[in-house]
Amino acid sequence: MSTTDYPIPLQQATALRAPENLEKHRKKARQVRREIVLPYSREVLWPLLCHTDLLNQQVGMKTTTNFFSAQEQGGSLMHARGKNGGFAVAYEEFPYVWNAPERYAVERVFIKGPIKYLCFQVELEAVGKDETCVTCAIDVVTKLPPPLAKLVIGQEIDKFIATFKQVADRLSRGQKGLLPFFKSLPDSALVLQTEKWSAFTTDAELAKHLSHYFLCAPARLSYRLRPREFAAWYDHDPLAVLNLCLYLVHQGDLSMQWDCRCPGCKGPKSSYQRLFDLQAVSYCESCATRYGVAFDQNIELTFSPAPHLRQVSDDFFCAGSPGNTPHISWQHIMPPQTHTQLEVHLAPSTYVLRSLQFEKEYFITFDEDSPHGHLDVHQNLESADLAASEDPLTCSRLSLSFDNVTDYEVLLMFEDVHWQSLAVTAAEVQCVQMFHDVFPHEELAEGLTLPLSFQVFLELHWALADSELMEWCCHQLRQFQGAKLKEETQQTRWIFASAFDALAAAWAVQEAFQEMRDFYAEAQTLTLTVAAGPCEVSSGDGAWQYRGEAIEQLTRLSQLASALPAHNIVVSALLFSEPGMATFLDHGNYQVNTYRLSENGEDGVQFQWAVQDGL
Amino acid sequence: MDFDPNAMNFGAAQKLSPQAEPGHVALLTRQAQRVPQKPEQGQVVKRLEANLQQHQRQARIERLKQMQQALATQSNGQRLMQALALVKKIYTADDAPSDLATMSLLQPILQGLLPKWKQLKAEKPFSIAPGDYQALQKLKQPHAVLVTAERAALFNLLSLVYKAVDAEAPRAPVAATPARLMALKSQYLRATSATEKQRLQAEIQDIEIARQRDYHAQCMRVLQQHQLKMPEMLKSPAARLLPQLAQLEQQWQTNRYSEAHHPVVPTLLQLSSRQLARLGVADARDFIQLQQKAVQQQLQALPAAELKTLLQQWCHGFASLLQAFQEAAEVRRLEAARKELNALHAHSAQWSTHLTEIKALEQQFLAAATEKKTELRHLLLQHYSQLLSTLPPITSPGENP
Repeated sequence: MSTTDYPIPLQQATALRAPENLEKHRKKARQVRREIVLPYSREVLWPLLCHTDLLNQQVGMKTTTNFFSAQEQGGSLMHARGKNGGFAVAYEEFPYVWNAPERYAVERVFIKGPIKYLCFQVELEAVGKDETCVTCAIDVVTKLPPPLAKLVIGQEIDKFIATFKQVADRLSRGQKGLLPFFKSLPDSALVLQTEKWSAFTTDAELAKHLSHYFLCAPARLSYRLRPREFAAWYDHDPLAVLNLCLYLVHQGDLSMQWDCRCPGCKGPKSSYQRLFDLQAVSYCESCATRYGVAFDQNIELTFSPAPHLRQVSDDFFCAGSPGNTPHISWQHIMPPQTHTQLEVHLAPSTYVLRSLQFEKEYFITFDEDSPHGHLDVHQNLESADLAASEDPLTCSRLSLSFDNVTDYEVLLMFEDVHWQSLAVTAAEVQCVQMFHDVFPHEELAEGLTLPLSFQVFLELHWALADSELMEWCCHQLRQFQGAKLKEETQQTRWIFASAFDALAAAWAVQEAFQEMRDFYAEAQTLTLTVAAGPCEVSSGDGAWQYRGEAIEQLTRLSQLASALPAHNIVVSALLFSEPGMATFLDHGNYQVNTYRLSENGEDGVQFQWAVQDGL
Repeated sequence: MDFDPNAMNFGAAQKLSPQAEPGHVALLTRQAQRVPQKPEQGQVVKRLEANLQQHQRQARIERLKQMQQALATQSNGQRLMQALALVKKIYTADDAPSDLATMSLLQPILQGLLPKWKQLKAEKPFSIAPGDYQALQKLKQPHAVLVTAERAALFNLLSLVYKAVDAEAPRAPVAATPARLMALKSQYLRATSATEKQRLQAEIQDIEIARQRDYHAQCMRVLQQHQLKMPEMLKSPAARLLPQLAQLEQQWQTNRYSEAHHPVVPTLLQLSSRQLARLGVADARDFIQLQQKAVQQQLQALPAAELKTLLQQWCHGFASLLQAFQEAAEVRRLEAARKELNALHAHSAQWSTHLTEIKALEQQFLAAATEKKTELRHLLLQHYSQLLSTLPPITSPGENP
């Protein structure tokens, strides 16, 4: 639960958070620590052990009520209230700092309860190829006598250590993702639900796993199923997961929500049951920023169980946990008026270096084999000397020398850009036939037009085609992540989530068509056109409407296709420039002919792509 | 092997009793009954029902196609039994089409399968009756319920089975289709689970290996055909051989797959064609030998041992062929030279005769009286002219006359 009414005067909060006060507590604090060696690498353990929100729940802690106060310079203060060990507690919480997969820590200054100050930290140190020494430590200043404090804190840490061990045990049973946090249920309950859902899919395992997820996941996860994440944990095809979930929404067993994720914290700060209610701008209270919604970026479809299946709520056990923001691999606080020198070494990937207090963002790729090796970056808030470049800077290690000349603390973070790819965006959902089949009336509000940066369209054009053959070809297309937009006597238009899906689908149709056309007395002809590019989506006349470059290109290519010999696939050149396309088309039995279209004096290169028989 | 002939209850099929309703259809129907108020809900249910039927069809077709592929690669009795059992299983299952039109089309085919299955199980030979083929041909006709794709898949599988039994035609291997490969690649790109990616990768690899194997088999067939033709080619003139080679070369080159995997063959053919066109060049033999050596080295890198051996044999045969042509060309050149020599000999003889005659005339001319000399001079000039006209044209060394 969270609210915007801050429960203590901001002046008091600022005093509690003052660097001098913090320093005073740090000096007084006594540390209690325990360690355990677990038979897994840090990379495997990190996603689980950094999820304090789930760990706290596992060790039996209570939920907290969180309050935020937006800061003028960006970001917000957080105050939490709850109960711990029977005592009512209230504290100011600083942001977590972490460096995945090595260490995380959080500091709290209390105004209520037996504790005055607490710093909770966990370190993961590699001790062998697949072995990690996990240290859990608490630096604490209490009102209790020191021996008693040591005993109580020690017992708390022991609970965490026991949970770490339990998690590792579950990993050894082959559980992936956050599955080690799932509770056990009697088989009978699962079997009953699985049997029911198995009737809706040909994949009984999927029905079983979906039942397991919704009935056994911690409330926060069950409340929000992300199809791609689920597919990764249980080894399923994300499209199959999405199809079944949409179907179960129609059946009334699940409900779906359109989450508008904040581009800053990536949290789902506004959620809507229907796309119709979607608004062009949302607000994030923890980042204290307004943000625009983009159909293909931050509108994500998630699923939650219907109340008759399970009563769940979006409860917080630890709001600022690194596990709640898995897209951030590194986060650090720069105190006001200080100079900080940091060494950053992250797993190979591309990251965005950003801060809620900055306007600019920098792309940095960590690559062990980078020829640039060590990169020195001197950053000053007032005079950003790091050239803003669209191409990521590449390095193996980064020395960050940071001057915070302001009077407020600055939170720096490295976000892994690949995290975003786990979201099933609204743009992808519009390319799922099941979505159109079960929600024919789901549409955007009148007048709302949203941009799509890259969308793929496919058009089928028949001449003298048999209706059954046409229907069969459309059925082939439904096997891919594509959806039918409109149907006319001789042509149908489809929308696809990716160039790969569109080409694979076109190929499947071409093949099905070639296999079957000899079974008809009359000659059958089919031409396929695939085009892609930016466009806009809106709703109108009870259907999805698209306009823009991609659609214009599709129309031009369809005209070109009609002038070419039949049975060809005419593909926009843009699709061939997609990364990975060469690998995708490798070992295909095809040939590509280039055509140049001249229109209004402009030359555009198009491709004709024809399927050939073998030897 | 799961085929119990007694389970093949044709009696039940003949009675056309309604099949047990599949769970999902039952549920969809219940759903339709539960929310009849809104007209769009009825449409949704109809659409879902139609989707479901298409999916059931697709599943049946996939199974038939998979069996066809399995049968093509290894069509022993065991496989044939499995194919027949599969057809029976698919079309007597709960979700099989159970309407009158479909049953009347399928029943004669299913009934025909039972005795064949029994014979196969008893390891006894059996034949395909003309009636069986007729029943199969009915699958090619338009049908109200059974869609063409399904009829096509069933027809293809059963005709393959029948042909295998009849051994009428050699079985052509059926490679997994490129569409399947691309669909899997698409699924691979979509997958988020490492295990799922691994599984898909393995499946893609299997298909690629199978495709390569099929491709090798195709190569072998083409090479074998041409190997058989080689003696004929040896006898035929180069003019006939060249177009054949060009055709063969084109056959290899039209397939990008072949270029990607075996650049050896098209290269060899290209070079050989050029070489044949230049027959007669003095260093041809060395040139061919060099090319053969290069090709042999490339062949060492080929993965499939069987294909490698065959290609080596083929290359060896091809080299012999080229050598024979080379020798033939030498013989032709020698014959031409001999003809030229004979012609020169004839000229020489003629020349000597003429010279003798001229010398006699010259003697007569010198000894003759003045009044006779005018007549003799005229005769002598005539002889000189005749002699010059018999001379061969002037040629350069090595050039044909």
